Amino acid sequence: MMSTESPIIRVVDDDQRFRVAVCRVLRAAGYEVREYPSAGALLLSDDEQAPGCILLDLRMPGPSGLELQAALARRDRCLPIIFLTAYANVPLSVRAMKGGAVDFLRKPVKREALLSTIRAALARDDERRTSREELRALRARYDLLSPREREVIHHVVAGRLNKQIASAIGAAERTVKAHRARIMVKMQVGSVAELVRQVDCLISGSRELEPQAQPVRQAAVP
Amino acid sequence: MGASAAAGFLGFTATAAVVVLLLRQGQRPRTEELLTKWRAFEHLLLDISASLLDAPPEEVNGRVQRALLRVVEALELDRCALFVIRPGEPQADITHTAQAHGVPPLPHTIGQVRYPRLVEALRRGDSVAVQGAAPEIPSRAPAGGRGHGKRPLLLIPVSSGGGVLSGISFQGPGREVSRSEDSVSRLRLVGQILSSAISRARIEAALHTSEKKYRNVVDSQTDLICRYLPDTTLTFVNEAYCRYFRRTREQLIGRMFLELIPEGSRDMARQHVESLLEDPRAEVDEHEVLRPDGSIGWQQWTSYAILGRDGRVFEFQAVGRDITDRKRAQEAEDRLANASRLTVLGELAASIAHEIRQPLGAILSNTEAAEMLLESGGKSRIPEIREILSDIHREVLRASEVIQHIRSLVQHRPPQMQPLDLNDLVRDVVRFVAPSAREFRVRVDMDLTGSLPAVYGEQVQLQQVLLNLIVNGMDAMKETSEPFRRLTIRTRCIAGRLVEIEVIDAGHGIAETILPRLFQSFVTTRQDGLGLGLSLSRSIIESHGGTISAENNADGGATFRFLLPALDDTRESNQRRAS
Repeated sequence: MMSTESPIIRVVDDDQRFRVAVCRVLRAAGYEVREYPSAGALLLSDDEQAPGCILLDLRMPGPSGLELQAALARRDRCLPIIFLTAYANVPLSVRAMKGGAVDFLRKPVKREALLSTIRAALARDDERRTSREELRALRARYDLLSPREREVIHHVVAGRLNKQIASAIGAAERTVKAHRARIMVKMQVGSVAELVRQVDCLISGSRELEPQAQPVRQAAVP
Repeated sequence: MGASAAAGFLGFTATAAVVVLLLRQGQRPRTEELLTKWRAFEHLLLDISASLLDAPPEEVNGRVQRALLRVVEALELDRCALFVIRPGEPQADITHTAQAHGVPPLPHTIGQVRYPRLVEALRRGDSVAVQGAAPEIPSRAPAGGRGHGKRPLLLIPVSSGGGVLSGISFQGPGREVSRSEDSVSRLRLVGQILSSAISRARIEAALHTSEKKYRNVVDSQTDLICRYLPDTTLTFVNEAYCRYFRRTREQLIGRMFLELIPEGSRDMARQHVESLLEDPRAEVDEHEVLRPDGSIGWQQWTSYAILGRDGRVFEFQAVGRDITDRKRAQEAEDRLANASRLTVLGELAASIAHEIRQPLGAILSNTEAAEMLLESGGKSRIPEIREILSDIHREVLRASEVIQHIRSLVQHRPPQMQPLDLNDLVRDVVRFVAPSAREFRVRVDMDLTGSLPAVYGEQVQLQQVLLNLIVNGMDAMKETSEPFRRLTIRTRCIAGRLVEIEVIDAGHGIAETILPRLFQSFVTTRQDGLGLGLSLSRSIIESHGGTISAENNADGGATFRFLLPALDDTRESNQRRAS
């Protein structure tokens, strides 16, 4: 599921003249752009829900680009970050990349390099948003399951036969069959293979998604 | 050697005296007896002079005493004594005396010399015979064995120098103490032998004492002391030198000190000695040495050339000490300084790169944006493109400004000193910063005093200082709310001799902890600052003979102020400027 909103590129740079120039390129390339003179300004006024990415200067008065990156990570915002700086060295770029930056560009930056990195960042944002959406929907469907059905689903995913499941949960084989049918309907899947994939998504997604996510893996252990 | 020659001479003199005696007294009746007696006396003299010759100084007095006794016995005298009469002291000191058995000894001093004529005669070198001895000289008791009453006394001067008269006295039977010339000269010989032995002992003792004192001084030094020949052969080393190299004097003297220097440094040390030979001077030299533990240390030496009569150096005396610790510390410091210089250079280069990349980045993006606008919209985008072009123009200037700034920093361009009107300078700089001021929404006010005396200075440098202070001031007001962002630049003339420029901001002020170090290198309150701006400003102002200072304002913000000396004759300088 693709997001329908158009992406916004946030440009954070204290050098107003450079900021204006870069924004011109981005606007000319058809992007919607918002300018921020400092990391603080972005933190205060940005609509984090809007898709897009952040083009971030490294050295600024007040919080630096790396500090903003760390702050955003703590706040669980997931806008991709591209660093764009005149002041670059290896340790700084390593820190930035380890912090999850899409790329680390140096001023002056050529249009092709800038725009292709922007595209990559937007793709990553889009992908992340999509998988987030999917995960959210998946979680919503999963939440529909009764506790008994959740118990059954993990036996199913583990590849056990109805008979084995019945003896494991102490129920009739017929009851297990009924649970299975309801699970397939509630999870909106047509095959066990699809169900396995969905549960995998839930398990891996639960770690990066909502903190209140249920510990699915634990339940999977018989 | 001198002493034995003297002994030989004395022996010869004694023999000659005997020959003379023989010739003169040949016909006399008691010739045979006398001859035997004087020959015995001659042997006695030889014996005495030999005994005194090899006497250690401390034994000389005792031997002189014994010699006097032997003379008394040989000549059957009552007594024989050595005396000294010092100028201005009316008494004679008896330094040595011997007497026959039963004769009372002389006191150490003979109370008063009551015979000025007698002393005068002695001083002239004449011997004096006194028939009846002075009452203060104790005489043999009248009841005694050999004679009665007063015995004749013969006084013979031996030497007289510096007013000090020394002599020998004989007292005894008139026959022995005869005033005959031969007799006197023989007896004088006794005095000469004895007194020369005494003075030699005294000199030797004095020498010994002074040498001991000197050696103590030299040996108790912690400094190393040595003497060496021009080929670096050691002729003397003190205790400290021996201790340093852990060798005995014997092991060191006769060796060349070059052997104590690591091979790699020997040429340098040799060259230093050669240069001292050519041009004798006291000069400090530092070189490496091989320490007894095998490690290499450093010593510092000052050598003094000792010149011979021909004016050429025959030896060096040198004082040295170990400077290994100092040298190591210095090396470490040098390495550190070098490393930090590299760090600073690296930081500077990075900072310069940053400064240039910023406008270049803006230029590139602006150009590309303009291209994109041309491609997409054509004529309708022309106003926008025109704006972009003017921005590009501005950025190019900004980049070249940075380069200009770096050039003036790096190249030590000879400063062009000229009379300057600081009001003009302020106006120029303010015009220059106006765009930034608008951007930062800072109001810049000029409070300029008219008819300011000119100052003699380098325009670009002073512009840099002012620019630096203004930019700092604007920077400090980033957090100040907009209506209060005010920067005032004020010029004033103080007592007609100083021109003052103040840059007053309404910013956050200067932390008290930083204030004292504000103008030092690498002190900065800005996150991106290198901390060179203010230290550079201070260097510039000080090179102009001025001062720079900063303080916090009572009503907030800070004031930076520099003072420059005014040109004495403003009119003249104006004329110069006009031409």
